[in-house]
Amino acid sequence: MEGWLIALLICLVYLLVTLVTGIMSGFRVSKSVTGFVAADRSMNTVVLYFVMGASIFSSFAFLGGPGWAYSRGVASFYILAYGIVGVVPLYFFGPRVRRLGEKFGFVTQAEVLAYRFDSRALSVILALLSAGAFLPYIVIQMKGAGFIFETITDGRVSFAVGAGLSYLIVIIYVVFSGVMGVGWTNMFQGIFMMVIAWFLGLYLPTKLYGGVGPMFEQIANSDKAQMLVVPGLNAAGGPWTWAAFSSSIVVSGLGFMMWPHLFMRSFAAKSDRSLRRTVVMYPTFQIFLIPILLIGFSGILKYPGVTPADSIVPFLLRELALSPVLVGLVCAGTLAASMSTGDAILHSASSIAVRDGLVSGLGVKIDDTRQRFLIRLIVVVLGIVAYGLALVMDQGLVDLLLMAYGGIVQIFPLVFAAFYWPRATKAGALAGLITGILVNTFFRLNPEFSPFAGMHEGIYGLTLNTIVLVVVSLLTQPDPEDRVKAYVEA
Amino acid sequence: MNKLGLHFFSPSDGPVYRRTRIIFLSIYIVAVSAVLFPWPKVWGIYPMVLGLPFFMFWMVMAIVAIFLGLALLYRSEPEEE
Repeated sequence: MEGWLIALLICLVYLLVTLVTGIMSGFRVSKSVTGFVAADRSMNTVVLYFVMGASIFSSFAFLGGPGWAYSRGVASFYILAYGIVGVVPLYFFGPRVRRLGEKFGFVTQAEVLAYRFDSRALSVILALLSAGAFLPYIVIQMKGAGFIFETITDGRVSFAVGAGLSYLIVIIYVVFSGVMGVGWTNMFQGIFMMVIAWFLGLYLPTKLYGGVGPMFEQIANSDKAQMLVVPGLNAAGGPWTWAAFSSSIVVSGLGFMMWPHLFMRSFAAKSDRSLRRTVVMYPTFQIFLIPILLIGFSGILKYPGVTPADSIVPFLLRELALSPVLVGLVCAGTLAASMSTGDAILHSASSIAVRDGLVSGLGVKIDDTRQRFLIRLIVVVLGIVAYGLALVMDQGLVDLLLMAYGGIVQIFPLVFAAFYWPRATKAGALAGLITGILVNTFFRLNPEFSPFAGMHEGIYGLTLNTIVLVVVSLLTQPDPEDRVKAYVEA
Repeated sequence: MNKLGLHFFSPSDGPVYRRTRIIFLSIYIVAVSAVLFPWPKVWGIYPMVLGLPFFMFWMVMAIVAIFLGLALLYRSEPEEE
């Protein structure tokens, strides 16, 4: 049998297993919004661990991550650092969010904040912010899936068919099983991608350089030595600045658990302990970025000049003439990474659209059964829209995503204030959030005005956001005591 | 509640619980600072540890420190649910 066909078959088997796992898991929860969105608040540590890990590691893990290491050297370490820095806040606010969810029936991030600050406008702003961040995110995941199929079959399976098939499966299991489908498939996908990453990350440096140490030594003694000088290179190939490196870690770290699809998993946790245990265990997942980055480093000396840098993994697979079985497994691993993020986002975006957009924001009164139906409907519609965009849109997506990332981190001061600062008020929260988003967007679009060259624009947004939140809160009347108390003592 | 009006602990939190949280926070701040700033010597390639360049080992150590800190914190949580 021809190599590409074997690889393709392995991917198809992977897709089939995912589909079956996804559908089976749906029988485990009730037919309600809480069942669909928060798994009846019943997830244990094992499932939560993989949901968090696999949702976090997207197709970026096998395409973008190695691409960063390949083209920007140690700059890619900021990804390793921020994940670990960023998961810690969840240990503290996660259990509070979970208890509030149980008490008040919340299933989305905006519901938590909108209740504390008694503001519908907040629901709408957060829903829009999520939409702005989620749409490019899911489109990028679909592109990753299509790209993998196209590459391994040398174009015999087109981009459109590959992306369409993978996401048809995602839509089916998300519609059928909701967050449980996301959970159980992510468990399978997570284990799969971890095994593949560790294998490839240790195998490639050994095969090409005789080991990880020798690989770094050879790079250090070559004309690419600049790549190993921390903090690495910028996108243009010049040296990156410490201001950029450190501020990227801070912004991404604080924003990490503010991503609605990750934040919302607190509601799915069975208990405080299972949620906390998940956070404690998370570093063991995060460490799998090391082999991922090693894959990218292994291409630097042997295969210079691969463009785009994101295609370094498929390039290495082809160039090294590895066994088709291995190629198939790596491609299935990449699909797993793409789909395990895509499903979580599709699911969260639809839940947010219905719960925060329609029900809280516009005040539409619909019963539980119809809400669940609408969420499912939006999963399908959103899936189709994103697929359309994946086929036509090229540039601009990454920009949109990066802009949104700086926007997502602006939620952090509100979450912090809701739980730890009783004096925060509705006006303060709204003013702070809006200021943060506007300032962030301004500096993203006009980097030449940045007071410190290279600084991540999210820092400016975050600073002004916090100042405005504090000042406006102190100038306005305190919020009603019962609401405040429910949160600081949650 | 402290002078800034921040509410970190409730009156029912015992001394062990408070102390462990403060210890964890110190570990966390040290580990985060370790990876955030251009400390001299640590961001070089040598000495290599376990085949990893020193800066990579340094980062792994920060991750391990946070992991151990979290484990310590978890052990201190009250049993009841």
